[in-house]
Amino acid sequence: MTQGFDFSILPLLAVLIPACGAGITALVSFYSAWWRNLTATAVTAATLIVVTAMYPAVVTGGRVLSFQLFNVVSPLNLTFRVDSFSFIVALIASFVWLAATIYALSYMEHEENRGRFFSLLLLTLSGTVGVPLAGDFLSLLLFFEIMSLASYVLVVHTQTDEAYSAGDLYLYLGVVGGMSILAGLALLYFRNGTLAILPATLLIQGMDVVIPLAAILMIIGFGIKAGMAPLHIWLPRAHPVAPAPASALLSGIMIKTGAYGIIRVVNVLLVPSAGPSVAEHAKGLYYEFWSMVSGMGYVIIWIGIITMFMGVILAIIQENIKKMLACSSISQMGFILVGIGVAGYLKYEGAMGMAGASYHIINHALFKSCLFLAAGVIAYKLGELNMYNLGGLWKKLPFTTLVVIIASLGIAGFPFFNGYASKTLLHHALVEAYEHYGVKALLEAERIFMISAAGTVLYYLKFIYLVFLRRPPEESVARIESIKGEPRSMKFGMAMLAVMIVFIGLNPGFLLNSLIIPTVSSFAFAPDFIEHHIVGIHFFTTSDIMSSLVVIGLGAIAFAIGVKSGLFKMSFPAWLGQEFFATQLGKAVVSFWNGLSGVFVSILGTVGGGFSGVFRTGFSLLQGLDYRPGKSDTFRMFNLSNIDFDVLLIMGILAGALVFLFYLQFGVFGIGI
Amino acid sequence: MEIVSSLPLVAVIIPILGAVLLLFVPEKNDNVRNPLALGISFVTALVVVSVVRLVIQGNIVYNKIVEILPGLELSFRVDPLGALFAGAASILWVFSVLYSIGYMAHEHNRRRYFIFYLLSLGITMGIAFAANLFTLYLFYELLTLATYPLVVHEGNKEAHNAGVRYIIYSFFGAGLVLYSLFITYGLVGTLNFAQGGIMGEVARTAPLLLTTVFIAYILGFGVKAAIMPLHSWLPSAMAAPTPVSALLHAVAVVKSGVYGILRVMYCIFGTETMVELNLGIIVAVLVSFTIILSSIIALRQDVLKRRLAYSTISQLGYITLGAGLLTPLGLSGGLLHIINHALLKITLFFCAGAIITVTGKKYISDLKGVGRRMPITMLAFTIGAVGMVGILPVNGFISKWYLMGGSLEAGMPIFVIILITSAILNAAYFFPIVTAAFFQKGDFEAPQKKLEAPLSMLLPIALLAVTSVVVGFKLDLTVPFVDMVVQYLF
Repeated sequence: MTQGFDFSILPLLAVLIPACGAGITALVSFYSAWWRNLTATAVTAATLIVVTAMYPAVVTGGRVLSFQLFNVVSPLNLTFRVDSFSFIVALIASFVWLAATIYALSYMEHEENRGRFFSLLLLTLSGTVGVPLAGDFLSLLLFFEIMSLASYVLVVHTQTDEAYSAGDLYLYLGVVGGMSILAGLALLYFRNGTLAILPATLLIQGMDVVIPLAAILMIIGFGIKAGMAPLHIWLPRAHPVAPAPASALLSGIMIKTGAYGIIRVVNVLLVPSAGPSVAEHAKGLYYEFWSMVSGMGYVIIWIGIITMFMGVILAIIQENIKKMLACSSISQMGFILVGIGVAGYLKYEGAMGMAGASYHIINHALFKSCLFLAAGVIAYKLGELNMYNLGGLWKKLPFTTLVVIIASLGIAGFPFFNGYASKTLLHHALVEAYEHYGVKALLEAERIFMISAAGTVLYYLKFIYLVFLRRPPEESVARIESIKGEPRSMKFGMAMLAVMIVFIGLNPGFLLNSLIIPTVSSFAFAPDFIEHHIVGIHFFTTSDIMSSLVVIGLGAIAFAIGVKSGLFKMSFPAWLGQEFFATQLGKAVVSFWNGLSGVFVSILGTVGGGFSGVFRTGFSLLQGLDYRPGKSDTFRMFNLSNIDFDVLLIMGILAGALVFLFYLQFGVFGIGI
Repeated sequence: MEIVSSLPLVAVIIPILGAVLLLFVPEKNDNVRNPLALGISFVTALVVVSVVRLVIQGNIVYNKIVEILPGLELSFRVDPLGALFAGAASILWVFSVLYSIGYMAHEHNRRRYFIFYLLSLGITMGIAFAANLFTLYLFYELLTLATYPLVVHEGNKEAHNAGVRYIIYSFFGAGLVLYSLFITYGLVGTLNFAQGGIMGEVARTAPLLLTTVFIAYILGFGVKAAIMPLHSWLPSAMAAPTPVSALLHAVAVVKSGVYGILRVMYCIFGTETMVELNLGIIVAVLVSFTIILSSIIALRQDVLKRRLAYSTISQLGYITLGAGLLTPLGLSGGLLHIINHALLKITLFFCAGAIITVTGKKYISDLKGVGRRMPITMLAFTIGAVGMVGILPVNGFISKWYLMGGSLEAGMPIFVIILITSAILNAAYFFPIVTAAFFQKGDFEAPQKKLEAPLSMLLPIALLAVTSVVVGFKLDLTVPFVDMVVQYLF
C-alpha cells in the first residue's frame, strides 16, 4: 500500500484549540456566564471544524497527515499521524463533544462550579482528540494521561461522598493503567528504538518474550480505560456519578480511546508487515509475528465475549438508569472487543472484524451518549434516577421519550437503525472466525453473542417500559405531574445525535463507503478480501434481518416473562454484585497496606527510638567533656555569639585529618596492600 | 580546554562575604537586609551561570587555591557535573531567598537566619566546584555546620532534638568519608577527580579493600543522600522553617550527598573499576529498598512536610539508582532527576509553607477544601504531585523514562518494576492531598479576606510550577546539557 505523507498543522491545531480554549474559558467564567457558554461552544465547534477539515486529504485522498515538534515532551518528539482510523475516532469524539457541550449549557444550570466544568471539559477534549491523532505511542500516552486526569475532575464534579469515592477508584486505576502502558512502552522503545504507530517496526529486532509482555502490559493499560473485564470495576461507579453530559462523554467517547489503543497495539504494532500480506509471509519471522497476533486476537475475542455477557447481566439487574447505561457500555465494549479480536485472529483476512469494530465505535458513541443525555433530562427535571420510582414520562417529556426510543432501537440493532449495521458486521466477523479455523468453541461464542444481543433488547425494553410507558407509581405521581418540557439547548444536543442515528440507520452503506472501507484499507488486510466481502455488502438481506428479528423477539419474550413474573424486582444477593467485590477488594488492599506500612513504621520507630537513646546518652557523655563545663547546652547554640565552638570543631577535625595525612605520607599505612 | 579562572572562587566568596555583610545589618532593619540578601544570591547565581556557560562551551574551569601536600590541594575545577549541580542549586537559591523574605516576615532571628542561609550557598558552591575529594570533604563538613543553625531555628525542644540528630548523623557520615579518604590517598596518592576514575591498577591488587572503601563512601555520603537506614535525620529536620526544608533538605544538602556519591562513583572509582568489582549493583539494590520502603512510610505520614520528606528520600533513591546502573541512559536519568526533582520538590515545599503561613495547618487531614481558599498554591502543588508520579507532560516523567531505559540497557528489568511501583505509590500518597484539597468539604469553604500567601511567596511557587511544566515539554532545556555531562563521565 502506498500512502503519501502530507505535513499538516491541522492535527496540532485540533489539540491546541481546546487546550487553549480551556484556559480562556476558565478566565472568561470569572466575568460572565454568557460569554463562558459562548466560548466553550465556539471552541468545541472550532475543534470539530478543524478535525473535519482533515477529511479531504485523509479519507478521500488516502493520504496520511503528519506533523512533529522536535524534542517536545518525549525524547521521540511530539508526533502526529492521521490516517482514516484516527480521523474516525477524532471526528466522532469532537462531534459528540459538541452535542454534549450544547446540552450542558442548560443542564449545568442546576450545578455549581460551572466555570471549572466547562474548562476541564475542553481540556479533556484536547486529550481525547489527541489520542487518535498521535503519531507515536508516547505522544499518545501524553494525551491519554491528560484525558484521564482532566476527566477525573468531571467525575467528581458534584463533590458528594459517592462521587469522591468513585472518583478515587477512577483516578488510581487510571494511574495504574497509565503506568502499565508506560512500562510496556519502555520495554519496546529501549529494545527497538521507535514507538511509531506503524506496522513492521518490531520486525527488525526479531521476536522474543519482551514483545508479548509489552503488548500485554499495554493491552491491560488500555483495557482499564475500555472497561474490559475484569478491569471494569471502576466503570459502573464512575460513569453514573458525573453530571450527565460528562457521563455521556465518558461512556460514549473516552471509553473508546481504550479500544483505540488496543487496536493500535494488536492490529498495527504487532503486525509484521505494512502492506497486505500474502502466503509467502507464512514462514519465518513473519509467521511468528502473525501467530502472536492471531493468538492475542483469540484471547481478545473471549475477553470480549465475557465482557459483553457480564455487562448484560449487570445491566439487567440495575435499578438506577445511569448505572444501567454504564453497564450497558461495558457490554457494548465487549462487542467492539470481539471485532478487534477477530481482526487479529484472522490475520490479514480479519477485515470484517475491524470494519465491525470501527463501525460500532461510531454507533455506540452516538446512541450511548444520546441515552445518557436523555437520562440527564430525567435527573435534571426530577432528580430521580431509580426506574421503579418513575413512570409515564412520555406525556411530560415526549421529546426525550422519542429520543430514547430511537437510541434504544439503535443499540438493540433493530433494522433501519444504526446499531443494526455494525452488529451485523460483527456477527458476520464472528461467524467467519468460526468458519475459518473451525474452532468449535467459537460456535459457543456466537451463541453467547446472540444471547447478549437479546439481553440488550431486554433491558432497554425494561427501561422504556418502566420509565416512560407504564403508569407512574402512586408515590411519585405528584412529582411527575409537576414537570414541563425540556430546555431548548438540551433538546438540540440530543437531536443532533438522534438524527445521526436515524441517518446512519437508513443509509448503512454511506458510512461504510465513506469512512469504514478507507479505514479498513489502511490496516494490513488483504485488499481482495475487502473487495469481495465488504465493499458493496448488502445489509438488508433476509437472513440478516431475520436473525436480528429473532434476537429482538427473544429479548421481547424474556421481557414479557420478566414483567409478568416480577423477576426484575428480584434482588440478587450482595455477593453477586461487582460493587461488593470492589468494596471488599478495596478493603483488603487498604488493610494490607495498613498492615505492611504499620510494620515498617513500628520497626523504624523502634530503631529510631533506640538510636535517639544512644545519641542522647552519647551526647550527654560528650557534654561531660565539653570545654565549657557547667553550660551543658552550649553545643546547641551554634550562632554567632559562640562561633568559636564551630571553629574549634573544624580545627579539631582538620587537625585529625592532617595527622593522618602525614602518617600516610610516610607510608606506614598498610591495610590490605 | 582547561582554562584557569578565579570565577569559581568568586562564586564561593561572594555569598560568604555577603553573610559577613549581613552581620552588620540590625535585626529590625528588614528593608535593608531583604534586598541585600536577594541581591547577593542573585549575583552569585549570575557568576555561577557565567561559569556554567564556559563549561557548556566545552571548557573546564580550574582554580587552584593552595597545595597542602603533593597531590593534595585545595582547588576548584568546574567540569560539566559540577556545573550542573552548581547551576541548579544557585538558581533555585534565588527563588528560595525570595520566598524566605515572605515566609520569615513574622519569624524571629531573621538576621541569623539570612546569614546562615547565604553562608550555606557559598559552601554548596564550594562542594559543587571542588576539584578533589579533599576540597569536597572540607566543604561537606562546613555545610553541616552552616545549616545546623537553620535546622534549630525554631528554638523549641523538637528543633533541638532534630538538630542533635542531624549533627550526629552528618558527622558519622563525614567520619566514614574521612576514613575512606585516607585509605584512598594511601592507595593512589591523589584525590583529584578524573574522568574514568583514579583507581586504575589498584582494583586488581586490592579488590576487597576497595569494596570496603566504596561501601564506606556510599554510607558516608549516603547519610546526606538519605539512603535507608541512614535517613531518619531528614524527616525530623522538617522542624526547620519551610524555606530551609525546601532548599536545604530537598535540594542543597541532600543533593550534595548524592553529588558526593556521583563523584566517588564516576570520578574516583570510575566505571571500569565499578564494573570490575560489581559495585554498581550494591548501590542499586540498596537504594531500591529505600525507594519502595520510604514511599510506603510516606503513605502513613499525616504531617505534610514529613510526607514530603519521605518522598524526598524515595526520589533521591532514583538519582542514586541511575548512577548505580552504570549505563549512560541510567546516569542521564539520575542527573535529569537532580534538576527535575529539585524543581518539583521545592515547589511542593513552598506550597506546604504557603499553606502553613496562611492557614497555620500542618496536618494533611486538616487540609480538606484548602484548594478553594488557595487555588493557585494548590494548582502548583498538583503540578508538583503529577510530576513526582512521573505522568506526562510534567518533567518528572523524563527522568523516569531515562531511568527505565538505563535499567533495560543494563539488563536489569527488575528496576523498571521498582520504578513503576514507586510511581503508583507516589500517586497513592500525593493525589489524596490534591483531591481532598479541591473536592472535599472542609473548613475553608467561606473565603476570608486573605486568600493566598504574600506575593513574594506566591511568585516563586507559580514560577517554579510553570518551569516544571516547561522543562517537561521542552527537553532542549535540560537533556543536551545532561548528555554532555554523561559523555564527560563515561
